[in-house]
Amino acid sequence: MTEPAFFILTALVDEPRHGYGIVGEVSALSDGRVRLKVGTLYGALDRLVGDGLVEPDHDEVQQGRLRRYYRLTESGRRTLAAEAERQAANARAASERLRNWRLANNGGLS
Amino acid sequence: MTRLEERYRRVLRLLPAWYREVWEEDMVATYLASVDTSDPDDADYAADYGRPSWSEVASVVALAVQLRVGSACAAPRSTLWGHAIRLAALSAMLWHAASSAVGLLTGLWLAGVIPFLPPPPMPDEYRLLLYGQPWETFRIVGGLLWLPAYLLLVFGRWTAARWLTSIAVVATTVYMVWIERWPGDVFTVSSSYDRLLAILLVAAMFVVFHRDAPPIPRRPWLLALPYAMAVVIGYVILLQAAGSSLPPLDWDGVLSVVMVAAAVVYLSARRLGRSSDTWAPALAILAVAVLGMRAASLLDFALFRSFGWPSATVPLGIAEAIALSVVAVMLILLTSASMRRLPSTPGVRTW
Repeated sequence: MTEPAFFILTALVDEPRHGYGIVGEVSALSDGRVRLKVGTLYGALDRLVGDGLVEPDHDEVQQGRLRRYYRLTESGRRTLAAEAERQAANARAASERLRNWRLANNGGLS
Repeated sequence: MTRLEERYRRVLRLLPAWYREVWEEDMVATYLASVDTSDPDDADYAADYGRPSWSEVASVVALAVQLRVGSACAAPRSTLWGHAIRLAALSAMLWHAASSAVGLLTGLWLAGVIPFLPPPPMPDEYRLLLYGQPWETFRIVGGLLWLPAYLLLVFGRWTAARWLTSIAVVATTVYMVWIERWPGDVFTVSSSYDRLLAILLVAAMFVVFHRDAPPIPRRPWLLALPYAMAVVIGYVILLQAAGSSLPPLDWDGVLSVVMVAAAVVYLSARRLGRSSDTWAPALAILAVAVLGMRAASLLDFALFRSFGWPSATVPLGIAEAIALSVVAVMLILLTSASMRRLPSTPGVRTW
Protein backbone atom coordinates (compact mmCIF):
# COMPACT_ATOMS: atom_id res chain seq x y z
CA MET A 1 0.00 0.00 0.00
CA THR A 2 1.36 3.44 -0.93
CA GLU A 3 1.80 6.11 1.70
CA PRO A 4 -0.94 8.40 0.26
CA ALA A 5 -3.40 5.47 0.16
CA PHE A 6 -2.54 4.56 3.77
CA PHE A 7 -3.13 8.11 4.97
CA ILE A 8 -6.34 8.50 2.93
CA LEU A 9 -7.79 5.36 4.53
CA THR A 10 -6.66 6.59 7.96
CA ALA A 11 -8.27 9.98 7.35
CA LEU A 12 -11.62 8.27 6.70
CA VAL A 13 -11.64 6.05 9.80
CA ASP A 14 -13.64 8.32 12.10
CA GLU A 15 -16.01 10.06 9.69
CA PRO A 16 -16.81 10.55 5.99
CA ARG A 17 -14.85 13.41 4.42
CA HIS A 18 -14.88 15.32 1.13
CA GLY A 19 -11.78 15.73 -1.05
CA TYR A 20 -10.44 18.87 0.59
CA GLY A 21 -11.24 17.45 4.04
CA ILE A 22 -9.10 14.41 3.20
CA VAL A 23 -6.22 16.63 2.02
CA GLY A 24 -6.29 18.58 5.30
CA GLU A 25 -6.63 15.49 7.48
CA VAL A 26 -3.77 13.67 5.72
CA SER A 27 -1.56 16.73 6.22
CA ALA A 28 -2.48 16.82 9.94
CA LEU A 29 -1.96 13.05 10.39
CA SER A 30 1.49 13.20 8.83
CA ASP A 31 2.56 16.40 10.64
CA GLY A 32 2.52 18.25 7.34
CA ARG A 33 4.90 15.80 5.66
CA VAL A 34 2.38 14.40 3.16
CA ARG A 35 0.66 17.18 1.23
CA LEU A 36 -1.59 15.53 -1.35
CA LYS A 37 -1.92 17.22 -4.70
CA VAL A 38 -5.37 16.98 -6.26
CA GLY A 39 -4.25 14.67 -9.08
CA THR A 40 -2.57 12.35 -6.57
CA LEU A 41 -5.61 12.34 -4.27
CA TYR A 42 -8.09 11.43 -7.00
CA GLY A 43 -5.74 8.87 -8.59
CA ALA A 44 -5.54 7.14 -5.20
CA LEU A 45 -9.28 7.59 -4.46
CA ASP A 46 -10.28 6.12 -7.82
CA ARG A 47 -8.10 3.09 -7.11
CA LEU A 48 -9.44 2.70 -3.54
CA VAL A 49 -13.03 2.95 -4.79
CA GLY A 50 -12.23 0.42 -7.54
CA ASP A 51 -10.76 -1.96 -4.92
CA GLY A 52 -13.87 -1.58 -2.73
CA LEU A 53 -11.94 -0.01 0.18
CA VAL A 54 -13.69 3.38 -0.04
CA GLU A 55 -17.18 4.31 -1.23
CA PRO A 56 -19.11 7.52 -1.74
CA ASP A 57 -21.19 8.51 1.29
CA HIS A 58 -23.32 11.51 0.32
CA ASP A 59 -23.23 14.77 -1.64
CA GLU A 60 -23.60 18.29 -0.24
CA VAL A 61 -23.90 21.61 -2.01
CA GLN A 62 -21.70 24.32 -0.49
CA GLN A 63 -21.34 27.79 -2.05
CA GLY A 64 -22.94 26.48 -5.23
CA ARG A 65 -20.49 23.58 -5.54
CA LEU A 66 -21.18 19.91 -5.14
CA ARG A 67 -19.06 18.27 -2.45
CA ARG A 68 -18.87 14.50 -2.50
CA TYR A 69 -18.13 12.77 0.79
CA TYR A 70 -16.34 9.42 0.99
CA ARG A 71 -16.38 6.78 3.70
CA LEU A 72 -14.36 3.71 4.54
CA THR A 73 -15.96 0.35 3.72
CA GLU A 74 -15.69 -2.65 6.04
CA SER A 75 -13.14 -4.13 3.66
CA GLY A 76 -11.19 -0.84 3.79
CA ARG A 77 -11.22 -0.93 7.59
CA ARG A 78 -9.86 -4.51 7.62
CA THR A 79 -7.20 -3.69 5.00
CA LEU A 80 -6.08 -0.62 6.94
CA ALA A 81 -5.93 -2.58 10.21
CA ALA A 82 -3.79 -5.28 8.56
CA GLU A 83 -1.48 -2.66 7.04
CA ALA A 84 -1.18 -0.77 10.35
CA GLU A 85 -0.33 -4.04 12.12
CA ARG A 86 2.30 -4.84 9.47
CA GLN A 87 3.89 -1.39 9.80
CA ALA A 88 3.78 -1.63 13.62
CA ALA A 89 5.52 -5.04 13.48
CA ASN A 90 8.21 -3.56 11.23
CA ALA A 91 8.67 -0.62 13.61
CA ARG A 92 8.85 -2.97 16.63
CA ALA A 93 11.52 -5.10 14.92
CA ALA A 94 13.59 -2.01 14.09
CA SER A 95 13.19 -0.55 17.59
CA GLU A 96 14.20 -3.84 19.18
CA ARG A 97 17.34 -4.04 17.08
CA LEU A 98 18.26 -0.43 17.86
CA ARG A 99 17.65 -0.96 21.60
CA ASN A 100 19.91 -4.04 21.58
CA TRP A 101 22.60 -2.18 19.67
CA ARG A 102 22.53 0.71 22.17
CA LEU A 103 22.73 -1.70 25.09
CA ALA A 104 25.70 -3.46 23.52
CA ASN A 105 27.57 -0.28 22.57
CA ASN A 106 26.71 2.31 25.20
CA GLY A 107 25.60 0.24 28.09
CA GLY A 108 22.07 1.49 27.48
CA LEU A 109 22.97 5.14 28.23
CA SER A 110 21.51 6.71 25.04
CA MET B 1 -16.53 30.74 -13.37
CA THR B 2 -13.28 32.48 -12.36
CA ARG B 3 -10.17 32.59 -14.55
CA LEU B 4 -8.40 30.29 -12.10
CA GLU B 5 -11.16 27.69 -12.41
CA GLU B 6 -11.04 27.98 -16.21
CA ARG B 7 -7.28 27.38 -16.13
CA TYR B 8 -7.60 24.38 -13.84
CA ARG B 9 -10.36 22.86 -15.98
CA ARG B 10 -8.09 23.33 -19.00
CA VAL B 11 -5.40 21.25 -17.22
CA LEU B 12 -8.00 18.58 -16.42
CA ARG B 13 -8.67 18.16 -20.14
CA LEU B 14 -5.52 16.03 -20.15
CA LEU B 15 -7.56 13.33 -18.39
CA PRO B 16 -9.68 10.87 -20.40
CA ALA B 17 -13.28 12.03 -20.98
CA TRP B 18 -14.79 9.09 -19.03
CA TYR B 19 -12.64 9.97 -16.02
CA ARG B 20 -13.56 13.65 -16.13
CA GLU B 21 -17.21 12.71 -16.29
CA VAL B 22 -16.86 10.95 -12.93
CA TRP B 23 -14.32 13.12 -11.09
CA GLU B 24 -14.00 16.58 -12.69
CA GLU B 25 -16.48 18.54 -10.55
CA ASP B 26 -15.12 17.00 -7.36
CA MET B 27 -11.52 17.70 -8.39
CA VAL B 28 -12.35 21.32 -9.23
CA ALA B 29 -14.14 21.80 -5.88
CA THR B 30 -11.19 20.30 -3.97
CA TYR B 31 -8.64 22.33 -5.91
CA LEU B 32 -10.48 25.63 -5.42
CA ALA B 33 -10.93 24.90 -1.71
CA SER B 34 -7.20 24.18 -1.42
CA VAL B 35 -6.24 27.59 -2.86
CA ASP B 36 -8.93 29.53 -1.00
CA THR B 37 -7.61 32.10 1.47
CA SER B 38 -9.34 33.96 4.30
CA ASP B 39 -8.26 37.35 2.94
CA PRO B 40 -10.91 38.52 0.40
CA ASP B 41 -8.36 40.65 -1.53
CA ASP B 42 -5.96 37.72 -1.91
CA ALA B 43 -8.84 35.45 -2.91
CA ASP B 44 -9.98 37.93 -5.61
CA TYR B 45 -6.44 38.28 -6.92
CA ALA B 46 -5.94 34.49 -7.04
CA ALA B 47 -9.32 34.05 -8.79
CA ASP B 48 -8.29 36.47 -11.56
CA TYR B 49 -4.55 35.99 -11.88
CA GLY B 50 -3.76 32.70 -10.13
CA ARG B 51 -2.60 29.64 -12.03
CA PRO B 52 -2.41 26.01 -10.95
CA SER B 53 1.09 25.39 -9.54
CA TRP B 54 3.53 23.20 -11.45
CA SER B 55 3.19 20.51 -8.81
CA GLU B 56 -0.62 20.48 -9.23
CA VAL B 57 -0.23 20.29 -13.02
CA ALA B 58 2.38 17.52 -12.64
CA SER B 59 0.01 15.48 -10.46
CA VAL B 60 -2.71 15.73 -13.13
CA VAL B 61 -0.22 14.84 -15.90
CA ALA B 62 0.96 11.79 -13.90
CA LEU B 63 -2.66 10.71 -13.38
CA ALA B 64 -3.44 11.19 -17.09
CA VAL B 65 -0.45 9.04 -18.07
CA GLN B 66 -1.41 6.31 -15.58
CA LEU B 67 -4.96 6.24 -16.93
CA ARG B 68 -3.78 6.02 -20.54
CA VAL B 69 -1.24 3.22 -20.14
CA GLY B 70 -3.17 0.74 -18.11
CA SER B 71 -3.03 1.26 -14.36
CA ALA B 72 -5.58 -0.74 -12.34
CA CYS B 73 -8.38 1.77 -12.94
CA ALA B 74 -7.72 2.30 -16.66
CA ALA B 75 -10.02 1.41 -19.55
CA PRO B 76 -9.42 -1.87 -21.48
CA ARG B 77 -8.19 0.10 -24.50
CA SER B 78 -5.61 1.90 -22.32
CA THR B 79 -4.63 -1.40 -20.74
CA LEU B 80 -3.87 -2.82 -24.20
CA TRP B 81 -1.78 0.28 -25.02
CA GLY B 82 0.11 -0.13 -21.76
CA HIS B 83 0.77 -3.78 -22.55
CA ALA B 84 1.89 -2.92 -26.09
CA ILE B 85 4.32 -0.24 -24.87
CA ARG B 86 5.72 -2.71 -22.32
CA LEU B 87 6.31 -5.32 -25.06
CA ALA B 88 7.90 -2.72 -27.34
CA ALA B 89 10.16 -1.45 -24.52
CA LEU B 90 11.14 -5.02 -23.61
CA SER B 91 11.96 -5.78 -27.27
CA ALA B 92 14.10 -2.62 -27.50
CA MET B 93 15.85 -3.59 -24.25
CA LEU B 94 16.44 -7.10 -25.65
CA TRP B 95 18.12 -5.68 -28.75
CA HIS B 96 20.32 -3.36 -26.67
CA ALA B 97 21.17 -6.21 -24.27
CA ALA B 98 22.14 -8.54 -27.15
CA SER B 99 24.36 -5.82 -28.66
CA SER B 100 25.81 -5.17 -25.22
CA ALA B 101 26.59 -8.87 -24.65
CA VAL B 102 28.21 -9.21 -28.07
CA GLY B 103 30.13 -5.97 -27.43
CA LEU B 104 31.41 -7.44 -24.18
CA LEU B 105 32.47 -10.69 -25.86
CA THR B 106 34.10 -8.80 -28.75
CA GLY B 107 35.93 -6.51 -26.34
CA LEU B 108 37.28 -9.49 -24.39
CA TRP B 109 38.32 -11.17 -27.64
CA LEU B 110 40.11 -8.07 -28.94
CA ALA B 111 41.80 -7.67 -25.57
CA GLY B 112 43.09 -11.26 -25.91
CA VAL B 113 41.60 -12.54 -22.66
CA ILE B 114 39.42 -15.33 -24.12
CA PRO B 115 41.30 -18.65 -23.80
CA PHE B 116 41.92 -20.62 -27.03
CA LEU B 117 40.69 -17.70 -29.13
CA PRO B 118 43.62 -15.47 -30.11
CA PRO B 119 42.77 -11.85 -30.88
CA PRO B 120 42.88 -10.69 -34.50
CA PRO B 121 45.94 -8.72 -35.60
CA MET B 122 45.27 -5.07 -34.80
CA PRO B 123 47.42 -1.99 -35.46
CA ASP B 124 48.72 -0.34 -32.30
CA GLU B 125 46.98 2.96 -33.04
CA TYR B 126 43.62 1.15 -33.28
CA ARG B 127 44.28 -0.67 -30.00
CA LEU B 128 45.16 2.70 -28.41
CA LEU B 129 41.92 4.17 -29.77
CA LEU B 130 39.93 1.28 -28.31
CA TYR B 131 41.55 1.03 -24.91
CA GLY B 132 43.68 4.11 -24.38
CA GLN B 133 41.03 6.84 -24.33
CA PRO B 134 39.14 7.49 -21.11
CA TRP B 135 36.07 8.60 -23.04
CA GLU B 136 36.07 5.31 -24.99
CA THR B 137 36.14 3.41 -21.70
CA PHE B 138 33.24 5.57 -20.51
CA ARG B 139 31.27 4.70 -23.67
CA ILE B 140 32.10 1.00 -23.43
CA VAL B 141 31.10 0.76 -19.76
CA GLY B 142 27.90 2.73 -20.46
CA GLY B 143 27.09 0.40 -23.36
CA LEU B 144 27.61 -2.70 -21.23
CA LEU B 145 24.98 -1.60 -18.69
CA TRP B 146 22.17 -2.60 -21.08
CA LEU B 147 22.75 -6.29 -20.41
CA PRO B 148 22.29 -6.19 -16.60
CA ALA B 149 19.46 -3.67 -17.07
CA TYR B 150 17.60 -6.14 -19.32
CA LEU B 151 18.18 -9.07 -16.97
CA LEU B 152 16.97 -7.02 -13.99
CA LEU B 153 13.86 -6.05 -15.95
CA VAL B 154 13.06 -9.66 -16.84
CA PHE B 155 13.63 -10.78 -13.23
CA GLY B 156 11.17 -8.15 -11.98
CA ARG B 157 13.71 -5.72 -10.47
CA TRP B 158 12.11 -2.85 -12.33
CA THR B 159 13.42 0.04 -10.27
CA ALA B 160 17.05 -1.08 -10.61
CA ALA B 161 16.50 -1.75 -14.33
CA ARG B 162 15.11 1.76 -14.83
CA TRP B 163 18.07 3.44 -13.17
CA LEU B 164 20.68 1.31 -14.95
CA THR B 165 19.00 2.10 -18.29
CA SER B 166 18.98 5.80 -17.42
CA ILE B 167 22.70 5.69 -16.60
CA ALA B 168 23.43 3.84 -19.87
CA VAL B 169 21.50 6.45 -21.87
CA VAL B 170 23.13 9.39 -20.06
CA ALA B 171 26.63 7.87 -20.51
CA THR B 172 26.11 7.38 -24.26
CA THR B 173 24.57 10.84 -24.66
CA VAL B 174 27.44 12.53 -22.81
CA TYR B 175 29.90 10.60 -24.96
CA MET B 176 28.12 11.65 -28.16
CA VAL B 177 28.04 15.31 -27.13
CA TRP B 178 31.74 15.01 -26.30
CA ILE B 179 32.81 13.49 -29.63
CA GLU B 180 30.86 16.16 -31.47
CA ARG B 181 33.51 18.57 -30.22
CA TRP B 182 36.23 16.66 -32.07
CA PRO B 183 37.24 17.98 -35.51
CA GLY B 184 35.77 15.90 -38.32
CA ASP B 185 32.93 14.46 -36.27
CA VAL B 186 29.35 15.45 -36.95
CA PHE B 187 26.22 15.19 -34.87
CA THR B 188 24.08 13.33 -37.41
CA VAL B 189 20.32 13.06 -37.87
CA SER B 190 20.47 9.37 -36.94
CA SER B 191 22.48 10.01 -33.77
CA SER B 192 19.93 12.66 -32.68
CA TYR B 193 17.04 10.31 -33.52
CA ASP B 194 18.80 7.51 -31.64
CA ARG B 195 19.00 9.75 -28.53
CA LEU B 196 15.31 10.63 -28.88
CA LEU B 197 14.41 6.92 -28.96
CA ALA B 198 16.66 6.25 -25.96
CA ILE B 199 14.94 9.00 -23.95
CA LEU B 200 11.50 7.65 -24.96
CA LEU B 201 12.63 4.18 -23.88
CA VAL B 202 13.67 5.47 -20.45
CA ALA B 203 10.36 7.35 -20.14
CA ALA B 204 8.48 4.16 -21.07
CA MET B 205 10.46 2.21 -18.45
CA PHE B 206 9.31 4.64 -15.78
CA VAL B 207 5.69 4.83 -16.94
CA VAL B 208 4.56 1.38 -18.08
CA PHE B 209 6.36 -0.88 -15.63
CA HIS B 210 4.04 0.14 -12.80
CA ARG B 211 2.84 -1.91 -9.86
CA ASP B 212 -0.34 -2.99 -11.66
CA ALA B 213 1.65 -4.36 -14.61
CA PRO B 214 1.73 -8.17 -14.82
CA PRO B 215 5.10 -9.87 -14.21
CA ILE B 216 7.23 -10.50 -17.28
CA PRO B 217 7.27 -14.18 -18.35
CA ARG B 218 10.96 -14.95 -17.76
CA ARG B 219 11.51 -18.05 -19.87
CA PRO B 220 10.65 -16.70 -23.35
CA TRP B 221 12.44 -13.39 -22.75
CA LEU B 222 15.58 -15.11 -21.44
CA LEU B 223 15.51 -17.59 -24.35
CA ALA B 224 15.17 -14.67 -26.77
CA LEU B 225 18.52 -13.22 -25.65
CA PRO B 226 20.81 -15.86 -27.26
CA TYR B 227 18.74 -15.67 -30.48
CA ALA B 228 19.15 -11.89 -30.61
CA MET B 229 22.87 -12.30 -29.84
CA ALA B 230 23.16 -14.80 -32.70
CA VAL B 231 21.81 -12.15 -35.10
CA VAL B 232 24.31 -9.57 -33.82
CA ILE B 233 27.21 -12.07 -33.93
CA GLY B 234 26.18 -13.04 -37.48
CA TYR B 235 26.48 -9.41 -38.50
CA VAL B 236 29.85 -9.01 -36.75
CA ILE B 237 31.12 -12.07 -38.69
CA LEU B 238 29.79 -10.51 -41.90
CA LEU B 239 31.72 -7.32 -41.12
CA GLN B 240 34.88 -9.33 -40.41
CA ALA B 241 34.48 -11.32 -43.62
CA ALA B 242 34.10 -8.11 -45.63
CA GLY B 243 37.62 -7.09 -44.51
CA SER B 244 38.55 -3.47 -45.11
CA SER B 245 35.47 -2.73 -47.24
CA LEU B 246 32.01 -2.62 -45.67
CA PRO B 247 29.05 -4.77 -46.82
CA PRO B 248 25.97 -2.98 -48.28
CA LEU B 249 23.89 -3.96 -45.24
CA ASP B 250 24.52 -1.38 -42.49
CA TRP B 251 23.54 -1.67 -38.81
CA ASP B 252 20.15 0.04 -39.33
CA GLY B 253 19.65 -2.35 -42.24
CA VAL B 254 20.12 -5.34 -39.91
CA LEU B 255 17.53 -3.89 -37.56
CA SER B 256 15.15 -3.24 -40.48
CA VAL B 257 15.50 -6.83 -41.71
CA VAL B 258 14.87 -8.20 -38.19
CA MET B 259 11.84 -5.93 -37.80
CA VAL B 260 10.31 -6.90 -41.15
CA ALA B 261 10.97 -10.60 -40.43
CA ALA B 262 9.29 -10.33 -37.00
CA ALA B 263 6.28 -8.57 -38.55
CA VAL B 264 5.96 -11.18 -41.31
CA VAL B 265 6.13 -14.02 -38.77
CA TYR B 266 3.46 -12.33 -36.64
CA LEU B 267 1.17 -11.57 -39.58
CA SER B 268 1.50 -15.16 -40.86
CA ALA B 269 0.79 -16.60 -37.41
CA ARG B 270 -2.21 -14.30 -37.11
CA ARG B 271 -3.63 -15.53 -40.40
CA LEU B 272 -3.39 -19.04 -39.01
CA GLY B 273 -5.07 -17.89 -35.79
CA ARG B 274 -1.98 -18.58 -33.69
CA SER B 275 -1.26 -15.13 -32.31
CA SER B 276 -3.06 -12.67 -30.10
CA ASP B 277 -4.03 -9.03 -30.61
CA THR B 278 -1.51 -7.78 -28.07
CA TRP B 279 1.56 -8.00 -30.29
CA ALA B 280 0.03 -5.95 -33.17
CA PRO B 281 0.29 -2.54 -31.41
CA ALA B 282 3.72 -3.43 -29.95
CA LEU B 283 5.08 -4.35 -33.39
CA ALA B 284 3.41 -1.25 -34.89
CA ILE B 285 5.29 0.95 -32.38
CA LEU B 286 8.57 -0.84 -33.12
CA ALA B 287 8.05 -0.73 -36.91
CA VAL B 288 7.46 3.04 -36.81
CA ALA B 289 10.54 3.52 -34.59
CA VAL B 290 12.77 1.42 -36.88
CA LEU B 291 11.36 3.12 -39.97
CA GLY B 292 12.33 6.48 -38.44
CA MET B 293 15.82 5.12 -37.76
CA ARG B 294 16.17 3.88 -41.33
CA ALA B 295 14.94 7.18 -42.76
CA ALA B 296 17.30 9.16 -40.48
CA SER B 297 20.39 7.24 -41.60
CA LEU B 298 19.38 7.56 -45.26
CA LEU B 299 19.02 11.29 -44.68
CA ASP B 300 22.52 11.31 -43.20
CA PHE B 301 23.87 9.67 -46.33
CA ALA B 302 22.23 12.41 -48.40
CA LEU B 303 23.22 15.32 -46.14
CA PHE B 304 26.71 14.43 -45.01
CA ARG B 305 28.63 11.51 -46.46
CA SER B 306 28.48 7.76 -46.88
CA PHE B 307 30.51 7.13 -43.68
CA GLY B 308 32.44 4.44 -45.57
CA TRP B 309 29.38 2.42 -46.62
CA PRO B 310 29.29 1.33 -50.30
CA SER B 311 26.93 3.05 -52.75
CA ALA B 312 24.66 -0.04 -52.75
CA THR B 313 23.70 0.75 -49.13
CA VAL B 314 21.40 3.58 -50.27
CA PRO B 315 19.13 1.62 -52.68
CA LEU B 316 19.13 -1.27 -50.23
CA GLY B 317 18.19 1.16 -47.46
CA ILE B 318 15.34 2.56 -49.58
CA ALA B 319 14.06 -0.98 -50.19
CA GLU B 320 14.20 -1.61 -46.44
CA ALA B 321 12.31 1.62 -45.77
CA ILE B 322 9.58 0.59 -48.25
CA ALA B 323 9.26 -2.87 -46.67
CA LEU B 324 9.11 -1.30 -43.21
CA SER B 325 6.43 1.16 -44.36
CA VAL B 326 4.30 -1.68 -45.75
CA VAL B 327 4.47 -3.75 -42.54
CA ALA B 328 3.99 -0.61 -40.39
CA VAL B 329 0.77 0.29 -42.25
CA MET B 330 -0.54 -3.29 -41.96
CA LEU B 331 0.22 -3.38 -38.24
CA ILE B 332 -1.35 0.05 -37.64
CA LEU B 333 -4.54 -1.07 -39.43
CA LEU B 334 -4.65 -4.25 -37.32
CA THR B 335 -4.03 -2.23 -34.16
CA SER B 336 -6.77 0.19 -35.05
CA ALA B 337 -9.23 -2.69 -35.58
CA SER B 338 -8.22 -4.31 -32.26
CA MET B 339 -8.59 -1.04 -30.39
CA ARG B 340 -12.03 -0.36 -31.85
CA ARG B 341 -13.25 -3.69 -30.50
CA LEU B 342 -12.27 -2.71 -26.95
CA PRO B 343 -14.24 -0.30 -24.74
CA SER B 344 -12.56 3.06 -24.20
CA THR B 345 -14.03 3.36 -20.69
CA PRO B 346 -13.63 1.02 -17.71
CA GLY B 347 -17.39 0.85 -17.16
CA VAL B 348 -19.80 3.21 -15.48
CA ARG B 349 -19.19 3.92 -11.80
CA THR B 350 -21.98 3.20 -9.39
CA TRP B 351 -22.75 6.80 -8.44
